[in-house]
Amino acid sequence: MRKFVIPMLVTALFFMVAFVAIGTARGQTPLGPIVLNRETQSEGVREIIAPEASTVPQQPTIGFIDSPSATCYIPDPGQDSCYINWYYLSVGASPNYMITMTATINNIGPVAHTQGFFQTSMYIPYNMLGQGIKVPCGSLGAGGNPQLGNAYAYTIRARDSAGLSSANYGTVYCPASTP
Amino acid sequence: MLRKWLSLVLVALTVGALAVAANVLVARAAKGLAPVMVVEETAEARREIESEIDAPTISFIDSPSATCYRASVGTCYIQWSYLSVSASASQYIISMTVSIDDRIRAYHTGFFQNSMYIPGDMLEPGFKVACGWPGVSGVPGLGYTHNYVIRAAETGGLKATNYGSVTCPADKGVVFLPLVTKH
Repeated sequence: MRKFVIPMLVTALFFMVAFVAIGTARGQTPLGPIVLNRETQSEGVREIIAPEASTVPQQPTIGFIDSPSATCYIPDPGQDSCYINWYYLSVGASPNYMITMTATINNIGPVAHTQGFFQTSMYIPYNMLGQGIKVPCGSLGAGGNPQLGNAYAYTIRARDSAGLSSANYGTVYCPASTP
Repeated sequence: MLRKWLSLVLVALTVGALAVAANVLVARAAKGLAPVMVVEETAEARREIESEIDAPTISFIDSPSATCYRASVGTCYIQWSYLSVSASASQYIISMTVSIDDRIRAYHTGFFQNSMYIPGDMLEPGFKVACGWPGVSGVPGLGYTHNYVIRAAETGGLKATNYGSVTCPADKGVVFLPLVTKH
């Protein structure tokens, strides 16, 4: 009898330890923001982020930010002044509210900030940013492309009332200023 | 003896011809498919699509109503009603570039988009160019003719290009002298 009881007890103890270890490992979730969705296209990246694992929803309600046709143009070739603009900036988070959306040109800082007001989506057309964001055009090759001027990396970030964030990372090249 | 030599020469010629033909075929295969150009042309404008297949999935660029207007003395601006291009649903537009007189004046970057639409007033006030004096381009009353090229590319490697020109109003300097009344 003893011959069977001891191995059975040892086996049971082993399984218990194993289950406890698995449970502990499952309970441990990484700290910090979690990327829920991410896509890339050449120099462009877009992603949806939850601030921490405990807030990860089954289905994120915030969408990717739509920021098509990042444009840089030089109205007057005699001046080193270019303007950056997007056709529009748009994001939705229904049924949650949109809290903010911020456009940042990385080496300048935030250039546009929109505050939500009990709204589930945000739409900023190009003409809401006037002529666009004035930046130096730069000389030929300054941004790494021999036919163009400066390159500006930008980030557009939006946040909803559930704490989720959506971000677009891209680069826009300006025409060179060649007086 | 002569027959023997003739046969030998014929064999040598045949082998040579076959070698040349094989060489041409290998060279063609190494080059890959020749690009297919879809072209439409009028007297002053041309638009084309460069593709490696017969039915390209990038559209022609739509750039209607190229306009040059004289905003003030010596200052003209070129503008379009809009610029638009689209790729197939499986491809993204990478970029669209506007060049005037061989200088890039606008660069539009695609961001996960199958089509690109730039309304005219997004590029306000337009692109500054020299107006020119009356008749300089051969058209009485008008000034310089500026050539433009609009290029677009998509992720599948297809390209579309528009070539055109627009003539500006002539720069007529008018000086308004103050009215001095005589007492």
